[in-house]
Amino acid sequence: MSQHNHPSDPKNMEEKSNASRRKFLQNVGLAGLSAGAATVAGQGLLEDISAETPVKDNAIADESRAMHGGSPISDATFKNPDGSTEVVLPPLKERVLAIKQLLIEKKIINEQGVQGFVDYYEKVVGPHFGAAVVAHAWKNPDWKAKLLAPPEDKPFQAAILIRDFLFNTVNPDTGKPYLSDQITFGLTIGPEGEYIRIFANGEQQENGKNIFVHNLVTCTVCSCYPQALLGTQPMWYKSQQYRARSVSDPFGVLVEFAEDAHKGKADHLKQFKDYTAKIDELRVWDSNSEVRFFVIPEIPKAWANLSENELRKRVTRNAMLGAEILYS
Amino acid sequence: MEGPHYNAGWTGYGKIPFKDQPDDQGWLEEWEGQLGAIFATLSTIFEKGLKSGQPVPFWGLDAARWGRETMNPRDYMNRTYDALWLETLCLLITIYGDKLGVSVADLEARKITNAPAQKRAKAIREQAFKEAVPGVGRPDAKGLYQSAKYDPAKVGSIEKIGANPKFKVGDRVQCINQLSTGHTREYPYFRGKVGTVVTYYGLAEEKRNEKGQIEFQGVYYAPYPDIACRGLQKFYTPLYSVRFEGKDIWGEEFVDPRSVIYADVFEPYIKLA
Repeated sequence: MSQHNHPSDPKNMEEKSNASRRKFLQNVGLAGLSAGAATVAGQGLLEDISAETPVKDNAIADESRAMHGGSPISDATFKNPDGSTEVVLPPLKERVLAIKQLLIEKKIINEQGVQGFVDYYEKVVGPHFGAAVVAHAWKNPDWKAKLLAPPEDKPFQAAILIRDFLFNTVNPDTGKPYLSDQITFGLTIGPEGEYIRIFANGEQQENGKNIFVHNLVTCTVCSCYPQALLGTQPMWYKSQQYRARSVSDPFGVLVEFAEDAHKGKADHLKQFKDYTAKIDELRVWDSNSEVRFFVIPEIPKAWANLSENELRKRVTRNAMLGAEILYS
Repeated sequence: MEGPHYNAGWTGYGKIPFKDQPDDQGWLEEWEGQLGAIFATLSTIFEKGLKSGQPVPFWGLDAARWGRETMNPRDYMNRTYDALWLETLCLLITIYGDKLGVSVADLEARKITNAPAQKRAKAIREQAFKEAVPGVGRPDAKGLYQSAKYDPAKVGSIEKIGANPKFKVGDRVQCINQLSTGHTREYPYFRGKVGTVVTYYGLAEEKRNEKGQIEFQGVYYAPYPDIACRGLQKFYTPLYSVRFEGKDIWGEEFVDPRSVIYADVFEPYIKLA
């Protein structure tokens, strides 16, 4: 129902959204379920599989494992300690729309404010900011060096350098500077855009030695993310699967991205193997303070002669988080 | 909170979903963005403060995170990402709804949450307000913490706290052990582990000009999460980037020897190794 309020073509949005959901379901190995669920007209597929609420049927409280010393996690027929039966709540989407309605009725929020927030994240901030930074860094090694090595008394100088660049550079797509005060809302470069640390993937000098470093960004408890440079988090970054595994099996994560996201393109896999064979250190950055991490990927050799404008269009969101490499 | 809410390193979750989500797609569905908008709006209302001259309750990212940690482990594991945000919003209303003119009864009537879950979350919060916080100790009867080291009112200013970091770059440090019902950024996977301080992030007060715009100094200025999550006080501690070798955390037989983990560690979490 919220689709009708969207200023862009609602039908397109809906198709895009449905395609995304189908893709999501395929990716989590539920393609069969998705085909079955698709027959239920008008139902949100995600809600159907999300196990938001315990199973209503066969809810025999006395058989509750939690009541017999078992883990409450394993218990699908939960009974409250006071003996009451749990209320089964509607699907998540309905509850979100209900709380929105309630807060609008109480005049705590309003529809325009909510829409403004959504539009801001859908149309204004996004990975195109980060891509512009990466392309500029590739073409300006001195600037890149400053981003990577802030002075000791200004560990987050990168945010200030990026602010200067994005405020004073015209975005060729809009004819206006990338950033302005209207876009940053009085913050340095936008949401979560103060304590920025930038790392580069590839060979670099450290303590007089040349080492090949790859960086991977994660937030193991939730989804802290450099929103000012990348917009909203993709689903994989927010997933339990990624968060749990990124710190303990980062190489496995890279391999999974290389193999799945590119559907096994032989040439890509060869580039990936050549790249990972060079890695001396794989550094995982857990975003467990308000500091946000951002990665300048290694530029593929074949791109050396491309212009800054051509380069920025080839930089991917996943690469700026270190989850995948760039392929020529 | 101890439990599945901190599951870094847990195995068996299977493949990472939707790795090829298009770059221009933020949310899968528009209501997910609307949920973010509601949280941002309420959080801003609290950040600005509702009443002057009193401890100002606030509900920032630390409180938001703790909100979902107070969920029953079963519910936490069963919920999707957005459902966790909704749950923390409901808890905000349960705790501070009277200041907004909306109550948990309103939420229950519209089947947005259920009262027992909120009652449970509230009881956990109350328990946490009796417990020690790393570096700060136990609170008084009102649940307020005292610190001669990290409370800017007692030290003089946030800058003074920042000017006296206990550790320097290169120090070998060991993370403390702790049990927390409250929220902490010392995640279980690196508790007790030894690492090296690689960066000190500095600390200063947030400065804004007359237009309300941040004049960023290039140093850290966010509060200590373990106290800030409680919404009543803001303490500040030096913050460091600490490097851990993957093998020191997970065991050398189990990880690629080239893997390294960097975590941001607040001063009370560490001691010299």
